[in-house]
Amino acid sequence: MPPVSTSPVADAELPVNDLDACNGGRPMKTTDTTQRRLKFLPGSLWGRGLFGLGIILGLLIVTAAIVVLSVWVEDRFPSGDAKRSLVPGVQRVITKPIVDALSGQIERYVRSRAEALYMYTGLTLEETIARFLDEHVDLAERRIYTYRLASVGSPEAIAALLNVFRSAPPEHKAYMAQLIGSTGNPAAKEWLLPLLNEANERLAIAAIRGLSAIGGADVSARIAEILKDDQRSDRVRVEAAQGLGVIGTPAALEVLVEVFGQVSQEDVATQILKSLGQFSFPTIAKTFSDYLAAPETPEEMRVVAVEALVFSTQEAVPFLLGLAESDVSAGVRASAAWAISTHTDGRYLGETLAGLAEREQDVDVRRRLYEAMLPQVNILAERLLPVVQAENDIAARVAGFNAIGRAAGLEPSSVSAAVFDQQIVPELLQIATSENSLNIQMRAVFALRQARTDAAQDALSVIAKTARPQVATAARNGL
Amino acid sequence: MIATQSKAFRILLLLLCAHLLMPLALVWGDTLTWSIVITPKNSGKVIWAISSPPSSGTLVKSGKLTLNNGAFVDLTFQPNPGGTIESVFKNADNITDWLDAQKHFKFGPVSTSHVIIVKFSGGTPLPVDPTGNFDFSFPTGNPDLTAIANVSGNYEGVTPEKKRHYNVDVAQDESGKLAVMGTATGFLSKEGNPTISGNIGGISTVSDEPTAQLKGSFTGTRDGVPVTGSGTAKGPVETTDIGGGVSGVSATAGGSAKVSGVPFSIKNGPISYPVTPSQASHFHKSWSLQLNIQSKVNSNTGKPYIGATGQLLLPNGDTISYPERVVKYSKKGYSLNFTGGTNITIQPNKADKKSKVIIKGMTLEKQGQVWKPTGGTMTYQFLGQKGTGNLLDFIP
Repeated sequence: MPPVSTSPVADAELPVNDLDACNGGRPMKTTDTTQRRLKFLPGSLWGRGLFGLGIILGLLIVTAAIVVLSVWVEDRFPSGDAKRSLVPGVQRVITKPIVDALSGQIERYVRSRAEALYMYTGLTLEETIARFLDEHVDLAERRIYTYRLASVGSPEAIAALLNVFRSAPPEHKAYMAQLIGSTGNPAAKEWLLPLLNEANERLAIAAIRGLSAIGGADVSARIAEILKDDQRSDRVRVEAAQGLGVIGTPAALEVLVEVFGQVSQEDVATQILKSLGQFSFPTIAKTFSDYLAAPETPEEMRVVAVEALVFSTQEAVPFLLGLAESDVSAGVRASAAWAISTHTDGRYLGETLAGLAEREQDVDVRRRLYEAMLPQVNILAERLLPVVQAENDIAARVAGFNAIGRAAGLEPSSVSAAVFDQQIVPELLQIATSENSLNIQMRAVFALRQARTDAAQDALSVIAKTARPQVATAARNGL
Repeated sequence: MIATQSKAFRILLLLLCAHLLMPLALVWGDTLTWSIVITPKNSGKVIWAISSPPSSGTLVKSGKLTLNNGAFVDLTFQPNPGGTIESVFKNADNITDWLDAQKHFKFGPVSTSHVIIVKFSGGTPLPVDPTGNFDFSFPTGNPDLTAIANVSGNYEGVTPEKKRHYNVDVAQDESGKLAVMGTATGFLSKEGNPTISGNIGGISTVSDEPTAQLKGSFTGTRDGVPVTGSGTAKGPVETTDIGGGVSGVSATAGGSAKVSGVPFSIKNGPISYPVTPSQASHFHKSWSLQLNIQSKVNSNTGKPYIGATGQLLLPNGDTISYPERVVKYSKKGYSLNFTGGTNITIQPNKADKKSKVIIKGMTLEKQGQVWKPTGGTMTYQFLGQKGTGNLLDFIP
């Protein structure tokens, strides 16, 4: 059976003799094979060039398609999420590495934008070094170049940096230590580690801040030692606790949990809780749950613990809802409600929160529950209206007006929007324009801006002309 | 041998002279301390005036005076009403008869430290509880004191790198929690509204400085590419030179976002924003406490007591009024605990659970007719922040 040609060019056009010539004119079996393989190529040089370009273009399109597909797959079915991933094994091998590579590029770009102020000063590196070393310029002005020099890390830059850094007065040295650390340059550890033992607390604190921004197991271990050392001042230990939260590794978490069980100083314990709160909720849930449930935990510290969860992950919300609903302490319930208000990913809690507000006896808790409703997509304004209108406390009342105003903004033709316009807008106008606390007045304006109804806009116009400057500006910004 | 002996003798003589002259040199080159002993306790007072350093005051109990060598010391001895001076001794010397008609003696120029012992008898003890109005205010220029910041106000400007316009209004409540409402070019709220609003975190005291810890989420575009994400930022509420004499705020930021679906995260990224004078004017750190201590009579029992009230003016302009507390002046001074006040700026007035001022060991001394604080500490806690400092640092 004769071989079937896949080439658009006739077999006769193939330069068979040329190929044979390469083998010394001897006909070879492999030559025939190669010949057969290449016979689909165009005969002319131009044709082959175009063919090659087509292949490259095709590969690029295929690559782009794979990249887009990988991004799409990882976005919707992340391989890191066992419940959502489609084919975890394949995704880990193919799509995840592709997305990780893209992420790395974006991270570098974003970081370079963040560093722009420090890195792109309009001076060359040589000029920067010269200016940095110029003692005629106030150190407060030139210390900013520390970042660029530490980031570039060339021998000249480092020499200049250390020349000034080592002899700088403490207040400037502390500022520079933090800047050096924020470059993330691991070489800087060597310069900052000795400062951890400085008697000058300001320097030790700056070193902790700088080192924790760089991170690493060695830094984590040194900072952990400081946190555990009860001979160090509370101020330095507080900073160490903060630093471990910034480092955010499992080892740092372990140390924080360990020391938390032993520490007696309130300030240190407070900061440990705040640092623990920065970890993902599943990793800290037990610690927080046990601490909040312990009868010997002071109420003030329970509030600190709950508010620390503001910076944890969304998984904390069900736990916080449980506290907001049934904790015996009104302070803890209020804090839990406020913490929920800062978690804006789960936005379908409107009904639950409305139910809690209806049942809640404490006015401050109700106020925070109203605030928690703001990011929700389903604010049950009709249910809230009677509760809010019955509030005597001005802060709770204005918080409730914000929730109803937001609902009015989402559904301008609703009954609650009409009530808002007729009854609430005049009251908010009166609050914003007569003597009251700035915080209350600003929030009254926020409620009007949330609603965006005609009546609210009219009220904002009046406030913009008659209220005190900050309140008037806030009103003007809503017009 | 004689020469050697003579040399040894001269060295010995020199050492002897040095030994003898040393105390004199120390006396002439240093300050002196006079101890005044009033006995028995609360039997009278000693009014004093020193020429160098120029100072004066009244001792109602035993105490010490510090003066420069060569100074003149005026002492006037006053027994309680109805009482008499039994004796006045300067060390072992009885100088009672040397006092003038006003029971006064002028010493000096003085060159050595002495002990003056005055013994009064009879008389009715005067109440020694210091009373009066005492104003304390936070000295914003003192970097060693922990500031309490209020940031309520409007912040409008352009971001340095992408020239995005932002216009944000901020409200800070009594516990430091922040709510914002505003716009930023290219950013939308989660539901696509150009106005971004919500609770974003708060301000608390970390390492003795007001620190903002914020979080937020957004949708938007960057260079035409859709971006969604959330982030946190943490930094001191303080303007510093962020380079070239430009005043600004610095913080570290982190967060995760998605650019066209590609996730990325940043940890501990440095951020600095220039702060305009108009924006800086919203960083309020000044506050004051008006303390009033008065002798009162209980209308029910008719017994006298000392009552203290306070008015705390916060950096956000709110005034917290603390009702009267019965206090007692002891050896350690006044200890006052102001909690459970009323915010009288909020209309209608609202009970304040978040502000607290604790004064410990406030000692006072009468200068002329006015009592002046001479020591003590103050712990202050409001707007979600707290600090402690030497009471004298808060005297305007």
